[in-house]
This record gives sequence, structure tokens and C-alpha cells, in this order.
Amino acid sequence: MPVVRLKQSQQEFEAEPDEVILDAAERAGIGMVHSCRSGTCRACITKVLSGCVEHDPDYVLELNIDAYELDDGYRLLCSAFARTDCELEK
Amino acid sequence: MAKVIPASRTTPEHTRVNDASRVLKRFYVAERQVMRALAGWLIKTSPVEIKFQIAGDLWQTSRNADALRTRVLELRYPRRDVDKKYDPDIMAFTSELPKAASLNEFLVGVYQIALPALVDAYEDYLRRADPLNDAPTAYALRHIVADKRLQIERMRELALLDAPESVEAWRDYLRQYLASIGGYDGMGEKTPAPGDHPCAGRPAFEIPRVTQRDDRFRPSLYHLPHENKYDKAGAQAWKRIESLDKRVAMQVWSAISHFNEIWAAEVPASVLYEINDQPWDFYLDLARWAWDESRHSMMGYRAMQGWGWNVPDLIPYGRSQYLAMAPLPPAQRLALLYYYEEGLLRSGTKQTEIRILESAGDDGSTHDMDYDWADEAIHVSYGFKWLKHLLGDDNAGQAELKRLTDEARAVMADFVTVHKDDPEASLAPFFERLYGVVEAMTFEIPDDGLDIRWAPVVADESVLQEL
Repeated sequence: MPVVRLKQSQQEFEAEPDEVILDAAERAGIGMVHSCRSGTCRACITKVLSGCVEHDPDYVLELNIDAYELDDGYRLLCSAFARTDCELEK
Repeated sequence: MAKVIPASRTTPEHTRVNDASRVLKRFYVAERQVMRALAGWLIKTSPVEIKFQIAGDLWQTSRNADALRTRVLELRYPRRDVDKKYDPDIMAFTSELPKAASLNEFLVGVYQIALPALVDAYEDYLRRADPLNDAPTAYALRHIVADKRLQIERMRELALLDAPESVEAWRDYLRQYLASIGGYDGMGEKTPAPGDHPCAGRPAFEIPRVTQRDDRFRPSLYHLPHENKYDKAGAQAWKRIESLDKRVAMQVWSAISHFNEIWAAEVPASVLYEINDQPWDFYLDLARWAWDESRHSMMGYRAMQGWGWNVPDLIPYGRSQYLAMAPLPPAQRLALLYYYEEGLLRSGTKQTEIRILESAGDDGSTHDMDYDWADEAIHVSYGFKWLKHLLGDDNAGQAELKRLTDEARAVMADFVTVHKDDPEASLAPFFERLYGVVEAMTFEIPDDGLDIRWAPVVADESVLQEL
């Protein structure tokens, strides 16, 4: 299982392959800023510092995130899967 | 000669598909126009309870319009025309509604003339419509009629609509005007337009740049200390409430803050009225946004009434945000509102507030904040979508959004500076009165040890550092 590391809070947790990062964090007892859980409110937007984090392909066209934000490495954690070990700015 | 068998039944005139779509388009336009009138007068209305109802009716009217528009499109009506080619008679009549010279006139015009006539028109349509062939319309209209009847009834209970001569003249004018266009369906006998009526020829309605609060309340520009960094006495008076317990402070803060969210209803309502060339969904979303923020205001009002407070006597009911933002262009107002709401969500402020309210054991306030949190997520989505639509979904649009937001934040900060010596800028008298009321209500509960670290989201970062 990929390990997700949070840089600012110095925490880490494992994420199942079909588990969005927000859910995995909560399962590990780590609270994260969020709201809609559907990728539309942008509360959980976070920069990926390393590793591969992909948005849910079933909803990728419905997410409220700009192309330039994606290019800069930002992801919406309520709608994204860790494909490899990764480090997030949070 | 041709051969046929008898018709199984006869149908009323003017009920074929093309007739239905033509009439329903008129109804849609009428609802859309009533929606705009309600949005405009939401800002112009000061009595709290009436303002709340107008906000709710604004949203319901947007849903009613949407149901009619959807049905029009199902009846072979060209998509390219549904939001164009509005019937000039319907436009002319409904454009009169917001021109009311007083709140009483407005309420009489909408709730005693325009809406009852719509109900009559819908019921007339239902009587003539084939219940099988046009069943989807019947379903929609029955629900719309139920909404309208409730709206009329609630406003009748709420507003004491006296009838001085000026209101009676307005009522008479609108009645004559509606008759002159043959009613909403255009199928009635047309009478001469009341062009010589004393109420005719009033100037077009404009969104007010100044909003007045309910005159039962003491005048105040602000409602909480984070808004005005110059009000040291107000901040100190607030700290005294905070010294009771940070949980108590959050209970009080959330109620006052919610109640004062009415400005966040006024902003989308004003944008809805002033930008009149956007896709239909824009109006649906802004009507919802305005209603949601009014609901949040109602949440605060209900909470404080539930505590038994004399709300008008105790609570500051501010208007600084609207006053500061009103001169800005509509898209800039929307940009600033979006900035605030996205900031609230991204900072996790709502989640923190809910945790503190849970720690206080305040079920009602927790419940209010929980639903507020869900609503704000929807609003951010609206802002994200429509600001792109208005400003451009590209780098230039993004840069313009930032420019508009930064400029609007500066305008807000300037407003605070300009009004720093205004007597209405001082919150200390409010919090000094409130302290005694709150202090007398406090009681002890087991401390759950919650480490309370909380700060509001504001436009002026220096305020946060001082809190």
C-alpha cells in the first residue's frame, strides 16, 4: 500500500489503492480540512511534493481545479488516489 | 369524400403543443421577472422577517421558473430561443413590479396582484390541459401553485398590508396593466394600457447602493470585532465575553455572525439583478446562494431567540459589508464573496467552529454550523464556475479574478479606515450589554480538554494578528 507523508504536520499513513487520500487519512485518525467530498469546494486542495497522486478518473471532468493548478502539482485530496508513496505539503 | 370514424373526444382550443409551449414560455418569463424583482427588493427590504421570506420566495421562484423553462424545452420549443424573444407584454408588466415606491407597495404588487394572478393563470391552464397528454406540465404547475399559495399566505400573515391611497393606486395600476396585456397567458380580452394612470411612467428600478437595517435594531456598521481594527473598546468588550469561556464566546459569535450573514445574501441578489445576460443556471445558482445566506441569517436569529434574548435590543445588525461593496461592479462583488467563502473552507474554519460548539454541548448551534458548512461548499463551487464564465477560463481570467479580489479587499479596508470615528462603528455598548445577559446564562459542564485555537477569516490580515 502506498504511504502518504504530510510534510507540515509530520504525519504519515497508508492508503488503499481504491481509497481517496482524505478517507485514508481519516481512517488513520488524521483530520484534514475538507467539505464537499466531491472535488467541487476546493477546501482540500493540496500540493503534491513527490510521488504520483491521480484524481479519480470517473469524475476528473467534474472537479473544480484549474489546469495550471494541476500542472503545478495540486490535487483535491477528497477525489485523489495515491498511486505511489508520496509527500503532500499539508 | 374521405372516410373516418368519429373522434373519441374533443379537446379545448389552444391546447396543442405549440400553444402550450407559447403560453408556458410566457409563464417562465413572468416567473423569471418576479424572481428578479424579489432579488432587488431583498436588498431594499429592512424588516427582518419580511426580508427572510422574500429570500425564500426568491429561491422558490427560481425553481418554479426552472420547471417551466424545462417543460417549454420539452414541447418542441427551440433551445436557442428559450432565453430570448421574451414576450414584450409580459416583460412590460413585470418590469413595473420592482418600481414600487415603498415596501408596502412592493408587497401588495407581488403578493396581492402578481402572484394571485399567476395562480389563477396556472389553474386556468390546468383546467384546459389534457391530463394525459400534458401530464408533465400538470405535475409541474400543481407544485408551483402550491408554492405560490404558501408564499401568498405566509406574507399575508407576516406583513400588515395597510392600504393607504398610494398603495391602493398602485394596486389599481397593476391590475389594469395586467388586464391590458390579456393576462399572463395573453388569452384574455385586452384592455387599454393604463398609460395615463398616476402610477405610470416611474423610472426603472435600480439596485440600492445603501441598505437599511430593521429600524427595531440599534444602528451599527459592524457586528463583530474582527471587522474593525480601530474599535479597541469593542474588542476589549468582546474579550470579556471570551473570558467566560471560549466555548461561550463561540456560541455567541456563531449566532451573531450567522444572523449578520444577510449581507452575503444581498450580494448575490444584487448580482442576479444587475447582470442580466448570463445562462439560466447562473440565476438558479445565485438565487440559491442568496437564499442559503438568508437561511444562515435565520439560523442566528433563531438561536438568539431560543436563548430568550431581545435580539433587536442586544445584537448589532451591521451593514458595512454591503455598504463597502455596493459601489463595486457586480463581478467584483461576487469575486470578493467567493474569496471569503473559499477562505473559510480552505482554512478549515467551519470544522474548527463545529468542534468548539460540540465541545460546548450546544446541539442547536452545532447543527446550524454543520449545515452552513455544507452550504458554503456549494457556494464555492458556484463562485468557481461563474467567475470563470464572467472573467474567462484562462490565465487572463485568473489574473483578472486576483486583481478584482485584491482591489475589493483594499476597498473593504479603506471603508473601515474612513469610518473609524463613526459613532455606529463602536461595538462596545453592544457587548457590554450582552455580557451580563450571557454571563447570567452560563453553567458548568465537564471540560473535555479541547485545545481551542480559532480565528475568523477576514479581509484585513493585520486584524487576525491582533485577535
